[in-house]
Amino acid sequence: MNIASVKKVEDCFDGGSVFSYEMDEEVTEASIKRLGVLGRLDYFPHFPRPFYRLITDDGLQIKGVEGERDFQVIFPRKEKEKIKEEFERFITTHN
Amino acid sequence: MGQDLRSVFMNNAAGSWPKAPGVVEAVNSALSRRPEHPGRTSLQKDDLAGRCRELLAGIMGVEDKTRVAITFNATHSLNIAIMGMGLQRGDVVVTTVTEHNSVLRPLAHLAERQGVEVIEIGLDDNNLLDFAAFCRALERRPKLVAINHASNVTGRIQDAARYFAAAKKAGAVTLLDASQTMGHARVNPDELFADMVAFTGHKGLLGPPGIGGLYVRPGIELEQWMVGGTGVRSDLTLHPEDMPTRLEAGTPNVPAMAGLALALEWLQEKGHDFARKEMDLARGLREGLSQIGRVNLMDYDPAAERVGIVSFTVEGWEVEEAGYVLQESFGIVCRTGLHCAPHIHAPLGSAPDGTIRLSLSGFNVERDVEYAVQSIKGLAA
Repeated sequence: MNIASVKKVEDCFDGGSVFSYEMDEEVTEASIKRLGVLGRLDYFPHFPRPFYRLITDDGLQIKGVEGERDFQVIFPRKEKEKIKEEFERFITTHN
Repeated sequence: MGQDLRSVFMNNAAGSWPKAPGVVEAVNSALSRRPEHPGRTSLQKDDLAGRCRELLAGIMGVEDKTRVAITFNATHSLNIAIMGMGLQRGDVVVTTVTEHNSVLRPLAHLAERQGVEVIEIGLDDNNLLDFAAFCRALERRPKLVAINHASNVTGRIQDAARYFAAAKKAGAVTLLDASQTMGHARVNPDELFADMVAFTGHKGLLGPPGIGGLYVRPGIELEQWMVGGTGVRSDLTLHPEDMPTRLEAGTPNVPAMAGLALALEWLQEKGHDFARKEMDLARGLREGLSQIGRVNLMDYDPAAERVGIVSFTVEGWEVEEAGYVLQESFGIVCRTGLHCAPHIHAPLGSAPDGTIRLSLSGFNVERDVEYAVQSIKGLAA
């Protein structure tokens, strides 16, 4: 899976930033579950369109819906660029 | 995955959808034909401004339609009213914690820039405006009392007549923000002791955005702070002073007038039953949500008079995220957060994050309500 586009949505009050990612493929159950190695994953497969969210120890937050190509990511203020770079490397190599 | 979802629109307090039948076509038609800007063309087929004014006056039970100025939205109307009062340093204004920023910010602006004192009335134990505190504030002889007819957070309709009657006795000018009640509930300035009523066309009136109105009682002549082209009396150096031109400067939104006029005609015929249906659906929604253990309904009082707005939180979910899930996973369009009414949340217990808000219209159906209740039950499980 590769990143098709990344758009900054807004800056948070605490200095973090919200980005919208669009991938070149739909996010699947398998790819959602792989995200679990990064932190605490909540996955709601019983929703009409399954929702997932992930929070890492670094403060990175991801949320999205299975079957969509896009999802939202909040990067924390601290080490924002480094965390963003590592996250993008992870999703393109592990998904 | 990516299954087709049921789509339910429950964000009518921000802007109603769908519009009254024929509104889209009326706007389209107005944009498609040669423009007939009032007083600004040799083409004068339809007097849309006059028609809107007449219909709006009719809905409010106002005899003199020239006292209804057509504006661009409720915020515009409220600014015309508040800024037009000519308030000076030391003048007192009484308002409430239920207000939208369209009232709070103009008042904060006057407080900051001109030293106007703003007294904000809170809620009592029943979530009604604190009448004792209100009466104490009236002893300060306010020049203006501004009250939200219905909260855009809880939908509760305040007994504006009670507060405004007291305010009139104290010599204040009274301003009603009817953004959430026009088209939903009876808004008669005489019955409510309202000197001014501000409203928008794109919510309960089922018209397009970009049009609103302000009723101003005869005898109140607001200061003009927005002046310019009027299409009439071009010979005058100063902006005309007679109503409604006094408060209307610049080319009006003619396509929106066309849409609103059609919506108002539709409401004349169907409005009563339409509003009743909305109230009934909202009552069902509140009752359904009240049965879900981890749902906290804001200001839940089955006996209270309300428009079709229901606000709540779900334990274990941040409001913003719950709204995202309702939209993306369940297909329910809602609104989350403070809803531009930041001061009501502390007394409601929903500060600092606000609420999830579902707001209905008479175009919703029972199945929408059942689906919303089931979806939120799933969220809260």
